[in-house]
Amino acid sequence: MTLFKIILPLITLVLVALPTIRVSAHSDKPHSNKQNENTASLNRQLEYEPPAPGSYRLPPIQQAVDGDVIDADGREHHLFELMADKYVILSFIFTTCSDLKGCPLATLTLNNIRVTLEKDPTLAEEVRFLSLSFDPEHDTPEVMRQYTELHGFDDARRKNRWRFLTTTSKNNLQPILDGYGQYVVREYDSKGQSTGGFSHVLKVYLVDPERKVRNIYSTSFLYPELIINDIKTLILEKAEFQ
Amino acid sequence: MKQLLSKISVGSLVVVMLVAASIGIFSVTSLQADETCMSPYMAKITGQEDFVYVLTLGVEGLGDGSDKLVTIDVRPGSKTYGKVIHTLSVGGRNEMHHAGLTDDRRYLWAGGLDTSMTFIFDIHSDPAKPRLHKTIKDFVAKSGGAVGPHTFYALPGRMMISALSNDKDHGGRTALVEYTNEGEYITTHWIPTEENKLGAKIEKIADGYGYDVRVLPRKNVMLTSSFTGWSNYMMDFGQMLGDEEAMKRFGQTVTVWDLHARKAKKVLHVPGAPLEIRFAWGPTHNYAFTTTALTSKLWLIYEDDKGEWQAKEVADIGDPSTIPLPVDISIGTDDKTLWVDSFMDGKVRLFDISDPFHPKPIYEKTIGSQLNMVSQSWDGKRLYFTSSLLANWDKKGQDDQQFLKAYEWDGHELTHKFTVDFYKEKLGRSHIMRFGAYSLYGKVPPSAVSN
Repeated sequence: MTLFKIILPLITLVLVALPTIRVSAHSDKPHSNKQNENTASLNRQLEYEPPAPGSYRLPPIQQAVDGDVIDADGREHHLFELMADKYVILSFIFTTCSDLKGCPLATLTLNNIRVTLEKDPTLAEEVRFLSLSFDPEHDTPEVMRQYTELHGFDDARRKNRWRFLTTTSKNNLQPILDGYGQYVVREYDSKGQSTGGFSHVLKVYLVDPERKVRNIYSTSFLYPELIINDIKTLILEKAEFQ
Repeated sequence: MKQLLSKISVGSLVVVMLVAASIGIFSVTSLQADETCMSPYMAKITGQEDFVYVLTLGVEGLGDGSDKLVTIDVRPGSKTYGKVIHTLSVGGRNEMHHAGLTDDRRYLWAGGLDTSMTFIFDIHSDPAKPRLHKTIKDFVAKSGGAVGPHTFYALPGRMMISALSNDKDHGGRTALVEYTNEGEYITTHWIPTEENKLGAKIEKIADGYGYDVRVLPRKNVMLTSSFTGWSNYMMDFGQMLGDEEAMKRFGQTVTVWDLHARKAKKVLHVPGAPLEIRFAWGPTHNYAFTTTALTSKLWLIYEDDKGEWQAKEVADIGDPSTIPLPVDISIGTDDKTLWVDSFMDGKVRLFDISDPFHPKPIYEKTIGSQLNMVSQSWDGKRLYFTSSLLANWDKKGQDDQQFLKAYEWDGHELTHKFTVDFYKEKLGRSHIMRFGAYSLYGKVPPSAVSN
C-alpha cells in the first residue's frame, strides 16, 4: 500500500500526460501567473546565459536551522551533523506529492545537479543533498528508503551524498519548517475535509559551510546550471577570503 | 503490483517529466481567480477572493487620524458583502502607500513614504481580522540611506523593496533593498547614476531614481521605473507644479537588471516619470508596459530580435495636453487588454494590447472625481478601484472623494456593484488593494463550516 502511494504520482503522471500531450502539443492557451512560472522551469532549457561564477555575490539571507531528523535507514541525526562543512542543497518534500511542479520537480532538479557534479569529483565532494519530508505521519524511514530505491537514488543515499530524511513527530518537524520559513498547510475541500494533500510554496535552500542560507530557489529558479554556478560562486568567495 | 512497478525504470520519473515538459503539457490552463500583476513567486487564490485589503492614509480629525489596514468582505452571498468588516490602525500617519504579499502570502508588507516605516501584517492567522505582526523602523539606517519604501515584491523567501528617495538630499536617487520574509535586512542595490553607472549601459541619462520593480524570471530580467523623491512627493501638488526646479526632479529612466546577479545592465530613457511596470504573461511575450505620469504616454519595454531590451512609446493615454496623469495599470491574463487609471480626470481606460506595439483605446469610464489604483481578478470579471494618490496631491474640497468601488466587467461594460465611502466611514484616504482568501491557509469561510 505504501509503495502504491509513492508510485501513485508517477502513474498519475503517465496517465495524465499521454492524452494531454496529444491535445496540448499545439496549444497556445494563455498561462496563469503560476503556470507561467512552472512552464518556464519545467522546460529545462534556460532562456539566458546564467551569470558566471564569481561575477556576483550571494549575501547571507539567514542562519540555517538545526533539528532532530531520521535518515532512511532509521538512524537519528542532527541536521547540522549531516550538513557538516559542506555546501548543502536542502529541499522539503512529501513522497505522495502529485504536483509535478512541486516536490517531483525539486527532486528531479537535485538529481540533475548531483549527476552533473559527479563529473567533477572534487566539486561533488563539497556538496551534500538533503531532502526532508514534511509528512512524517506517512513518510517513515522505510517509506523514504523505498522512495530512493524507486527513483534510483539509493546509490547516492548509500554514499551519504543525498540523505532522505524524516522526523519522529510534528513537534520535531515544525521548528525546522518555521526556521526555514517553509509554510505548509494541509489541503481541505469546501466542506472542511482533509484531501490528504499539502499546500506549499516550493522552496529549495542553498546552505554554505558556515550554515548560512545563501539562496532560496522557487520553481522559477530550479535550474541545475544556476544552482551549480551559485555553489561555485560561494567556493570562489571562500577562496577569496582565505 | 510491486513487480510490475519495479519494471518501470527507476529513472522513469525523470524521463517522463522531461518528455512531458519538453512538449509543454504543463501549459494547460486551469481556472484560477486572483488579482493580476502580482509576483510570479506567490501562492495563488483558487476561486473567488474573500477579501480586499485596503491600505489607507490617515486624515487628521477623521476617526483616529491614523493609517489603517481596512478589510472589506467581497465574498458573494456573505451577509457582509461589500462592507468593511475590520479595521486595524497603525497609530500614526506615515504617508502609507503601496503594499505587497510575501511569497507564501502569510504576511502583507506596507510602507510609509514619509516615515520609511514598514508595517508587516499577519493576514493568515485570521484572514478576516489581520493583525500587526512587526514594524520595521530602521529601514533608512539599515539600507544605508534609502528613504520611502514603495513596492514590496515577493522573491523566494525574500522581499525586494524599491525605495523612492534618499536621506542625503531627499531627492529621487535611491535603491532596491532586500529583506527576508522575517523582516531582517539582507542587502541594498543602488540604482545607477551618472557618477556611478555600476557597469550599466546608459541610453541617455542615469538618474538613479526608483519607483516600481517587476521581474521576468524566465529571461532573468528585473525592471525598475522612476518617479520622484521625498522633497516632491511630500510637497503640496499645486505648489510643486509652480516650482520650476521641483518639476525637473522627476524620473526619466527604466533600468534593466540581471535578476539573478542583481546587477544593472542598461538604463533606458523613458521621460515623464514612468510608474507601474506590468510584464505580459505569455511564454513568448518578452515585454512589459509602463505609463509616464507627466506625459500621459503608454510605453513598451521589450526585448528586440537581438536580445537587447528597448523602450518605445506606443500610445497616448487620453489627451496628453490635458495631463490626465496616468497612475495604476492592470494587464489581463490573456495579454490582450490593459486597464489604465488616470488621476486627474478620474477615468479608467481599456486598451487593446493584442499588438503591443500598437495599443488601441477601446473603452473608458469615469469612476470618480479622482482615481488611482485598480486591481482586477484573475478571470478579469471583477475590478476594484481606489482614489488616493498622495496626501498632498489628492484633490481638495468636493473633488477629494475617497472610496473603494467594485465593478463587474462583461467584456463590454463595467457594472457597478458597490461603493465604500472612506470619508463617510471615517477611514481616511484609500490607496492600494490586495486580495485575501480563507483557502490559502487551509481554512474555510465561517458560513461554510456552519452549513
